[in-house]
Amino acid sequence: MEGLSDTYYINRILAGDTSCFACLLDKYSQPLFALIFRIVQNREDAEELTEDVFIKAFRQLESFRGEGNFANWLYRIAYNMAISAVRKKKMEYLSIEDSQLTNVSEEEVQEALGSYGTAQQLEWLDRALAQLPPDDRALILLFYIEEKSLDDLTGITGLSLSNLKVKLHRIRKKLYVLLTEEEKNQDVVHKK
Amino acid sequence: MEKETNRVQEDRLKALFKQMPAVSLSEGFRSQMMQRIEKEAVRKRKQQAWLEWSMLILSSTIMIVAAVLGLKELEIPVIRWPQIDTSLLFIYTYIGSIALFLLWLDYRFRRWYDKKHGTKEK
Repeated sequence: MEGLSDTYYINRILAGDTSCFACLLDKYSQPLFALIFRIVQNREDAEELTEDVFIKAFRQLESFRGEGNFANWLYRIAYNMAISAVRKKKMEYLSIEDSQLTNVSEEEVQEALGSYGTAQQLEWLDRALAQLPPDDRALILLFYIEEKSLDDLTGITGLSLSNLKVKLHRIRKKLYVLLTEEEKNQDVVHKK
Repeated sequence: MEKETNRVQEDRLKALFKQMPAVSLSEGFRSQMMQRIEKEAVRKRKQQAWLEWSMLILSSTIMIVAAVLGLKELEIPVIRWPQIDTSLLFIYTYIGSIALFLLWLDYRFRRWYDKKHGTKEK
């Protein structure tokens, strides 16, 4: 059954062949779990949420009706559920002043973010991502890891294209600020 | 030129994110998920059947109520049942009970025969 379109499987599931859901699971469970895990940052919660996402998708499959992209529809469910799960925990995130962000030029961000790559810097990136609010984190992960286009992202997040571009731009700057802070902290530790 | 530089930087950032360690689901996830899906499908079917029966009962009730009210409104004269001659009631009851007894006997015999010869499909 491999290689058939999502619409084919969906029609089969709606006709009563629930075993076809396994094909959709095989295709989407891993990337969805990876995304949710990076948003909620807890393995157990991420697995539970991934299950809930698929159950919700199964329940609402009739409402999909083959309009648009199934993957984006699924990602939208995951995005909303993961963000609300993190918000429920009421964790505090680092707030970065607007003035801090406006002082950073786009060239600086491009230069700095593009130059990271070692294991240490990946760890900083991980820590910096953890300090971002869940919706920002989800957005940047969808854009860079899942390689979703801006059009796809508007469908997933419900944001307008212009709003999305501004948000991505600000998140990149935030990441830059957080990464440079991590770097400074590391230098202080080394000097001690 | 600037666009090209931006694209290269963008690719580097993408590459950096791609280097992040992969995370995988636990081994039992797929089977556990499919079990939940099967349960959900059963629940969905039951819910659908319940909904269909409810709709059927509701629509039937509405139709009966509408029919009763309609008949009342139309002021149809009361049906006068013909007088039944009760003198033959005893013989009818006698014949009816014999017929019922024979039917029961036939049913028991068929069950006994099926059990003995195993002709009934399982």
